[in-house]
Amino acid sequence: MCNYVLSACSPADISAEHFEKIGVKYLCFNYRLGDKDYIDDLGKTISYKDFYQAMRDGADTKTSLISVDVYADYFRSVLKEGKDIIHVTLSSGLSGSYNSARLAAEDIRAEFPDRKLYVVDSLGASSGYGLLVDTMAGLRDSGMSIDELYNWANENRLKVHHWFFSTDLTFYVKGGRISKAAGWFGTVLKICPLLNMDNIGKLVPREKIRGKSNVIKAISNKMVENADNGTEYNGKCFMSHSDCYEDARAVADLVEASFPKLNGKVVINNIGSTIGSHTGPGTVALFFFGAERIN
Amino acid sequence: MENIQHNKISAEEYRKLIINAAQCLEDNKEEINELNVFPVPDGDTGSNMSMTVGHAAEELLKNKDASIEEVAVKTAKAMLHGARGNSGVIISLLFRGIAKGLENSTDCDGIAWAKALQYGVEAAYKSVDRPAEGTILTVARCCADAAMKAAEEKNSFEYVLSAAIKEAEKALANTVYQNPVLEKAGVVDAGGKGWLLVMQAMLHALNKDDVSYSPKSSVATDTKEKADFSSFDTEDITFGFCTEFIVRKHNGDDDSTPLKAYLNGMGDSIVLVDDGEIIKVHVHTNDPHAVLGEALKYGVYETVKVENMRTQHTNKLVEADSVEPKKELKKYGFVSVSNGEGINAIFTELGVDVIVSGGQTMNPSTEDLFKAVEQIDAENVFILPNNKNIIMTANQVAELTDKNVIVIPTKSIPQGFTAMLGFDPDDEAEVNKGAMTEIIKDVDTMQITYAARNSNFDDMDIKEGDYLALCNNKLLCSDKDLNVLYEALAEKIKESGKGFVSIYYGEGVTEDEAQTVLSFFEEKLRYTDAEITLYNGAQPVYYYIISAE
Repeated sequence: MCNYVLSACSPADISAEHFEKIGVKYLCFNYRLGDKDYIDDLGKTISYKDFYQAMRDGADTKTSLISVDVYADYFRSVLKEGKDIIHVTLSSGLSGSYNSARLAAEDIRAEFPDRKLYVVDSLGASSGYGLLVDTMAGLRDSGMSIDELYNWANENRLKVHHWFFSTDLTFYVKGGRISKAAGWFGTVLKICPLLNMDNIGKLVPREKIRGKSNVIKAISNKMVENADNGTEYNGKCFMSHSDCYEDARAVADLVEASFPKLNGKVVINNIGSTIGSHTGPGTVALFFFGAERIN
Repeated sequence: MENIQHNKISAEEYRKLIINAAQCLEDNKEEINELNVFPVPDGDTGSNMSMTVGHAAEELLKNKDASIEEVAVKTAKAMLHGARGNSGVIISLLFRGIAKGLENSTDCDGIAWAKALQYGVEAAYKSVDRPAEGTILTVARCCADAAMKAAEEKNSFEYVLSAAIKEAEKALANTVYQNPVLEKAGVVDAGGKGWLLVMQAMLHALNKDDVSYSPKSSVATDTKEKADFSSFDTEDITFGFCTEFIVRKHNGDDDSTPLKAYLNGMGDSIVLVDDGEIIKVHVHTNDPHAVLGEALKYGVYETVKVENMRTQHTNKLVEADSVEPKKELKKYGFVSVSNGEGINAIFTELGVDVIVSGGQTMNPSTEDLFKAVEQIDAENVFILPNNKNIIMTANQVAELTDKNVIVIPTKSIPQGFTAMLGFDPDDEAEVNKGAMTEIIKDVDTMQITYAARNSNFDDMDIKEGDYLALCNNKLLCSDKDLNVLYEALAEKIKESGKGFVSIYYGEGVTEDEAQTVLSFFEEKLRYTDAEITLYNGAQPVYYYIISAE
């Protein structure tokens, strides 16, 4: 088998089984819910349902970065076994984890002069970050070397499109993660903003759409407009949602109907505690490959 | 005396002619209003024209000018400011062209007058996208053409004007046959009638020694709505108390948007600055007590100042306004024309800075919109007229201000909301204009109102007081039973396949009634994916405004 480790962090929002199946190691983020600290262990300790219910009930959530030391220990544990490692992080536009990982890597490279240690900024989040890692696992399995994979990741990461909407904007406003311009969050008018991730890995509201059924149509149209080869798209499609499976399912049904050549069914994941702490419940996200994101 | 031909008129005579025209329109406005064949309640042509020309008469009565050029320019300017409704805007443009024709003149003979009328017609035609025959434009054009011919025969003001009037009478009579709607109703065009009256009144005034202008009570009696707007003239102040205060907030996170919405319903000239710690407010209102009570919910007072503007001199009033809290210049600002507390609150939430009260039955003047634009410290100001009879008025504002004014031609309240959704603060003004103009095309607006008059419209026999349903401003059906209209509208929505339906219920409709209507629509649209939401719009005139998008 291959001689290097491909790894990611828990906010890639793919299931533990999926990580295992594709042979990708993962490092868990931490978060605080109410007054207790937890590990973002993909829904094991606290189920997704319970987590979002707690948010709805008003529990405060806080996420914390993986520190430079934790990254360093993690990398060390792999390198010590005589394996190289390529680690993919959550977008630097959303989190400082890329920076921590990069600093850790710089610190310990000298300790392992014969080993290769790469850190990739996914410029993605949730299952979009997951789709990048999943694709990289496939390339690794087809025999790509660690150097080639590192270059491929940097050249192709912006081709993963992230589109998402929310039907409950309470937590977006609270978290201040996206710029709060006038009108974007008109709760009275049931505005569902349609957002995507730009070319520096930040979230940008793109369109304001009234009503759930209109935004469900709009997001699948975004895939028609942006996917490689339009409706002839034959890559994979991942989705994620925060405690609103039915809405995600409605989008998946439209996507599966519009893209007959899709590689497998749409994979629907849960938005985990790290990303979920910022979105709260009610977010549906859609990920696929298209032309490089330019803004 | 009657025999003396007025070959030339002086500045003083021209002034007299305009004042008489204003009085004549005022005296006959009801007759013009009656010519309206569309059964929907609206801002009447006669009233709008009278207010427009009346604005000029008021200005001219203040003092006299030496040259005819000055009088003509003053007339045109006053009409531009006072223009209400499409017919008002067109009449103001006619006079603007006339002023251009009288440039550098001390008096006006027949040839000059004929030329001036031609200029007027040119200016008016330019402003209308698709000029239709059988309107005020047709009458004004025929009138100007006849004037040119007459001027060749005899260079006399009176001769030319008389000839022009003769032709205008013919052209007006002919409008019946140029517009199928008029033909069915057997009436002439209201705007054209207004123009003829203006010309006739000017001719009559030539032989009058004395003219005067006295409008019937300044508050229009023929509308359901509050008729007067934010005028700064002492004699017709609408909101009497200039009220300013600073509140230190209980909680910095509290949103002051609801307070702004509340103020919009209480007065005008509103400035509200919320820096997180304090809220600074300036408002003209008739009920400072209520305003101050409401503001108390947000914090404790630091300062309060209330002045009765009716007892102050005009210059004092200007001073009071100049102490408005300074706002920094922002890139974009928004003015919206609407009515109804609920509707106004939604516009405020969407980011509209100033709401000019007005709508279907009360069209604001160019001046009202101009003042609203001036209140906003922004480089670019978008105006949402939200009514087809206000779009032209809004288009005139750009002439008056240094700000970049962009009119999005919204024809209904829901289109106004949707236009705001199409706005992106990160885009350039032109890009936004395109996006906002495009997105409003996806909105279907339906309205339920009552027939303001008996009418046989589109082969529908409509009795005053019948309920009317409109779809995109076209009459869909009428009945004495509202349920028939609901049925028709639900069917219309079903056909469109649109996914988001909003129902805004008007003033006088109870929440229970509205809930029943909501249930009806939910039942009718059950097997579609349409999502229906009910809002208390509290708008006048329309029992329900329904949008599908």
